[in-house]
Amino acid sequence: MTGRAKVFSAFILILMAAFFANLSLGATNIAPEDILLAFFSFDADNYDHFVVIYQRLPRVLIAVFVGSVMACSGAVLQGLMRNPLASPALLGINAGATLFVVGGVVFFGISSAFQGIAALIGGICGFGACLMVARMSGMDGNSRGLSLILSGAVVSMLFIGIANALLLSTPELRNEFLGWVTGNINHVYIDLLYQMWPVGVGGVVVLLILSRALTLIALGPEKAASAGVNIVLVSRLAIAAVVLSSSAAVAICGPIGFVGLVVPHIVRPLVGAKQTMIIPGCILVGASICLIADMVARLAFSPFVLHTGVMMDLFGGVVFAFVVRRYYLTPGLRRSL
Amino acid sequence: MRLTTGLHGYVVLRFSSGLEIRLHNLICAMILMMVAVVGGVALLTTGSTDSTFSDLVGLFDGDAVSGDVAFAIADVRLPRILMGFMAGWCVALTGAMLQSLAQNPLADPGLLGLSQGSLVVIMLVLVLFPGLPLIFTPLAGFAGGLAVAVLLMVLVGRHHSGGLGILLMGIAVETTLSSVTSILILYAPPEQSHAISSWLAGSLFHSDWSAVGSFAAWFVISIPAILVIGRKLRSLDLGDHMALALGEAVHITKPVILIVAVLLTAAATAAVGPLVFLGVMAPHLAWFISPAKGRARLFLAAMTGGFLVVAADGLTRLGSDQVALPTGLAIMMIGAPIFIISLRLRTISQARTG
Amino acid sequence: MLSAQNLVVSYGKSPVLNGLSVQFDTGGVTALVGPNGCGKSTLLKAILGLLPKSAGTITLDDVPIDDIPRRTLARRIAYLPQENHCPDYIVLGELIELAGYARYSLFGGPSAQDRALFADVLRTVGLSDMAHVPVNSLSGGQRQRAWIAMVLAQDADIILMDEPVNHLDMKYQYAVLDLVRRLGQEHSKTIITVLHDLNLASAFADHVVMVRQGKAGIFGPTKQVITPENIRMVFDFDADVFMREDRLVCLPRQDAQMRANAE
Repeated sequence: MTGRAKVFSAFILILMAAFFANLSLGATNIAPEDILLAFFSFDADNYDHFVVIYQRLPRVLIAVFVGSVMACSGAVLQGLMRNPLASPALLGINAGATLFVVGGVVFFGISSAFQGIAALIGGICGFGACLMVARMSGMDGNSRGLSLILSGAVVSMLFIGIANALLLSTPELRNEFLGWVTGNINHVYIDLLYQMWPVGVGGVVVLLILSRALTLIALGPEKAASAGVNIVLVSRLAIAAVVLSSSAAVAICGPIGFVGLVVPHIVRPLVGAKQTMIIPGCILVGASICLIADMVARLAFSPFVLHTGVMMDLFGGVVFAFVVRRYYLTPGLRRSL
Repeated sequence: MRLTTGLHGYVVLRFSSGLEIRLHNLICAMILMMVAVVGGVALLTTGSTDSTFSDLVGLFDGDAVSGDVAFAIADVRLPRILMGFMAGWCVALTGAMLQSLAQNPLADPGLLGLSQGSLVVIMLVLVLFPGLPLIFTPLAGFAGGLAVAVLLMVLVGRHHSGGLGILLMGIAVETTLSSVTSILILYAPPEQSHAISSWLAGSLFHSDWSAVGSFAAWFVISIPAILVIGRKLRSLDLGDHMALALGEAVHITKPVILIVAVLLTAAATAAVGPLVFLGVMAPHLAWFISPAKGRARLFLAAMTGGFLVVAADGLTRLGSDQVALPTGLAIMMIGAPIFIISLRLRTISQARTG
Repeated sequence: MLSAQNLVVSYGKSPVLNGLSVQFDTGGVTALVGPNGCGKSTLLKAILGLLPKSAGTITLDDVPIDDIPRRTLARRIAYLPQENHCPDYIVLGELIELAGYARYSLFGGPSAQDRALFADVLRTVGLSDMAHVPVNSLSGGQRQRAWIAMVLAQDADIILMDEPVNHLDMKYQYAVLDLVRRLGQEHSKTIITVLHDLNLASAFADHVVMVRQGKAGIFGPTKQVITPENIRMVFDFDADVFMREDRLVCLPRQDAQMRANAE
């Protein structure tokens, strides 16, 4: 078996293990046999079966969805923008989606059925705002899309600030949404998953299809053009897929920040620099990491249940600092991606 | 002192010591001050308690004015306006200083994590030691902001010129601290949680004369800061090495500027809560009004910041009673459109001359 | 008089300057030459304390430079870096006025003397009527002259320049270096400039310091230093050095053997 095949087998195994662990561990630990039974011969009176199928399974599915979508998005963004810091959270996508959902609920009282659409529109607007601010602040000295990162950070702060202010002005809604706004993977949001999964899965499929072209683009615009890739079209399609699928993820469980940033950095050294390998790798590893993070959030601080998004931010910030130190502050280091 | 044209072609007021003030800046500063005063006075007469300008005059003259009105004007509105102005002044000033330090127009005390640092410590103190007298909260804020500043300097390292590293590290620190804030909000008891959140959105509600007094002590620091730091920033504009070559002790100056920025931010945050984005907006708007450098730039930015907050607060009080408009949001609502328009106009004018 | 003893400066773990000792003569133009990466720019930066040194001392008139306060130092030594950044809004006149930074008091500004110097400096570089133009809008040659004017306006007796003519057209290279030479001769300034091109060094410099692998191998008057043997030792190629109408010319050899060696 080649090295890479081994790596991918390891990814798959880890994902399956995390999958089962999440189903099994919790307030009550359920044995693997019972899990299998719950799947294949569901007994409506068995409480354990109920917990597995109606509480933990939805949560696991959401975690897998969000993790893989965000990780893929991050990988594509980092490749397209040649920037190790790019991720949906930092380019205003998450913040935009959040703001529009909150705004929609506060101003128009939309039901959860429309939250998904609000999030999609919001993600697009958030990203657009980020682009606009970057272009307008006219920072030509910074290369490698760094102005985009900074603009994204500013836009994110702005939008999330507005969202928080809106929530404050409606205390009843605030209690309901407080959990969601901080990035909460919870089985109650499963309806949104049913609604939104096509968007997310569709986005990831598009990215997989484009992965070869994306690899060529990452090598350099000249090489890509000479290989016949329509750079503009591919980039725009890829970004559209990223924005829509990550907004879908936000619609379900609120903004989960740093999966998109962290996972590509883990996957890249293991599978090489080609997007054709990185994207599938991110799907697997992103899902695993999200599952593991969710498990840690649920269990490590018991009896407190920490929200996954908050925990991700906590550790993600530290990882971000490391990435900055390694890529931007080490003098003379060749910053290749 | 005479009016003349400088080497650079601008009309200046030149003093015998050699100091020059650009006439354009001077005029804009005076206009801003007048607008601020007029606006402030106008706001003194508006609010939920009906009052008129003659009431205001009457209060001044010592005439008998009804107790309600007198209370509203003197004990509620006036401290509130002063507080708002001082807070906006400090935050805008900090933003301008940080933008010079980082050589980046998007630098902001919030972006660098300084406000979050102050916030987290203040909140921890509020939640863990609820009985502590309020006089200690600003100190907690300083400790937090200072800790973040020191952390940033340590993480970025000594010899890295250019502010990109600071900004990016700031984002990292800010994200981590925001999550700590979120945790505190999520798990604090509901009333405290709500109080924290509302304070996070920026509120002038708690301004009384004693608060104004304690804040004024820190506000006063900003004056010598403008005078001394303003000039140093001009050398930093040319980059660290050039600044050193020109005679500026950059390795000492930069940390000092950062510390002053932290102090002013922490004071403003402790008094009024974080005023998001003001540190970016106000200096930009000031630049749009008059492209000044050095001390004039700091002064104009501070004035613009103060004015924005007072205006936003006016909007808050004029608005309906049902929607509790947090000051932070009001600032955004007023400032953001102006900000975007000014950016657009600037790119247009750059395209024309560029 | 400026001198360095046993200077060691490193980037990270590897030393760039490895025990460099040199003495710069007062007055006139000294060219710092050497192959890429030998440490010429690093030497200039280390002199000014822009880079930390692991060992060694630098003295100005027998006083260690570390002991001289920044403002005082700025009045003695001026520096022109290789890459100059300047915000878009700075106008030439403002740039020149910034040169006097070390001389202004807190509430003061340029004195009448300073202003006369500024006008003079602009005249010297030929940019008198461009004082109101933003620096970044000037052409390449003009911009370089603008920075030189700024350095001159600092009114320091020692000027350090790092590759001041690198990206300029030949015409401007010679014009700028001619100006530099006049400064050394007529205004008795000490100018130490890093030069990439040996021919420029041989044409304009009074003294030459050849830096190789972090040490100042050879230094002295131009005619003594620029010799075929030294060039071979420091730059690792063969050149003919000859006088032509009292100009020193350095012509690299190009024969079949050399081409074969290069492959």
